[in-house]
Amino acid sequence: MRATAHVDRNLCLGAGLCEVMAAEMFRLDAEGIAVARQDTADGPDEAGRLELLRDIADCCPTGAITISTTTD
Amino acid sequence: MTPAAISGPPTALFSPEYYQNPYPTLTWLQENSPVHEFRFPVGDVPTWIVTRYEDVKTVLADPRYSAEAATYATPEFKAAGLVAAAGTILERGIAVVDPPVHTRLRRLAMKPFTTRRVQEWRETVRGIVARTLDECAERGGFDVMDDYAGEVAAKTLGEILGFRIERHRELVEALNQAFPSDPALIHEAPAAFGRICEYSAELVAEKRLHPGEDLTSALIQTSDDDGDRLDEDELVGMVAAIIMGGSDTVRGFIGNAVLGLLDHPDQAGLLRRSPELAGNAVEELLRYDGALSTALFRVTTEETELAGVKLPAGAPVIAGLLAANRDPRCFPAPETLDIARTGKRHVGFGHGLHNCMGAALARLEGEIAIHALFDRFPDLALDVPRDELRYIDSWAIRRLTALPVTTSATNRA
Repeated sequence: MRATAHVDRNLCLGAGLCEVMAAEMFRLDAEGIAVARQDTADGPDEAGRLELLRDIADCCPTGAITISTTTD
Repeated sequence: MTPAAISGPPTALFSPEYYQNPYPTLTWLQENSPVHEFRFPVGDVPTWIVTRYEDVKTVLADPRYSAEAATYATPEFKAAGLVAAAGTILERGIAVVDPPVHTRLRRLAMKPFTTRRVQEWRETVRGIVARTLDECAERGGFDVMDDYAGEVAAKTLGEILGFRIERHRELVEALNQAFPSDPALIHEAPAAFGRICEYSAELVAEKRLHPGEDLTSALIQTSDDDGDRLDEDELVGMVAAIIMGGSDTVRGFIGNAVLGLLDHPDQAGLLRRSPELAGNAVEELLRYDGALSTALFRVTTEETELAGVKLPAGAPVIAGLLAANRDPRCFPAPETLDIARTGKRHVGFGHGLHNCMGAALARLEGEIAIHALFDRFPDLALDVPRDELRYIDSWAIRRLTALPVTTSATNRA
């Protein structure tokens, strides 16, 4: 299973919470808007990664982050 | 050392003169002492204030600057009574805890506050604003702080949380006592936090018995995918946090915004002619003169260094939000109010983990209330000389004591 995060750039207002919670998965670009890092490598920590992504999506003040999972 | 560095900032930090106009001092600090050590007026505790945009963001983003003063602060800081709400359930409230406790609280409570969900309150806010404007129109002249901004903020919060409006003034008073600027009044703070918790507990108890469409009822019901819920203390703490975060701040912001537009009639005219700019105008007004002067205290978890300044472990650090939003390194012509401005994001709602949960609601209230006021009263003007306006003595909140206006040229004093 792979978890992928998507940031809706029209909703994001750059509060920076996602970057603080997981700098390896999100960063703020030059405009200050969040970008999800496309690192979908699965591994033993994938379940933990999914849980963290869900935490971040639930904590985002604009509801700009969606998480999708694929099995392959 | 330059002569300016020897002379020090134009007014002492957190002095009565500073509150009336903090910007010259903040600009001086940005240029001469961007990570500035001073003695906090309450308890005379050594404290650092950070004024440059990038440094402010670092303080708010780096986990070595903890929000948990109760855990990391020095005995001196604690003895001065500076740990907010010490001894009450709010000591473990969402604004003053680090992950993982923070993550759990925030994910359980964030849902009703997201931009999309807050849109459900749009018509409610519109209705409140329209009714309040009718009352103001009957008066002809009125105080934006008490009769407009205060009413809109209180009615909106009351409606959303589901509490009776008459409690609001008592709450505002308790809030002012909870965050005193006068060192002589710090002993009243714990009782004030206690009163806020009492109101909140009563509200939660009432909504358990009679659930409604309100946010308090929603928070009682909320649970995550694993069935995790807020316990009683957490619920009461959360409702108390919403009361503290959502009343005087919104009132202060609307007041500052209205004054900013009265000071810049060209910008007020542009907003009146271009309602589509209302959202962007709110962002610029938050940047230009927001209601939060600073973030809540951060405390270093270990010895660290910021912009070349060594900070010991347990150092209280204040992130200067007003200052950061006028940093010329990030905002060209920062003193200029330009409601069409684009570019860097302001930090008026803070940044990072503890960025304001109610930001979407505050934006909605600001967007509707500010535009509607100027739209309804095209001749809105100050009803006192500009230099008679005063700000409250508060190091954390920037709010006018009163903003008397008149709605037509003929009414003007």
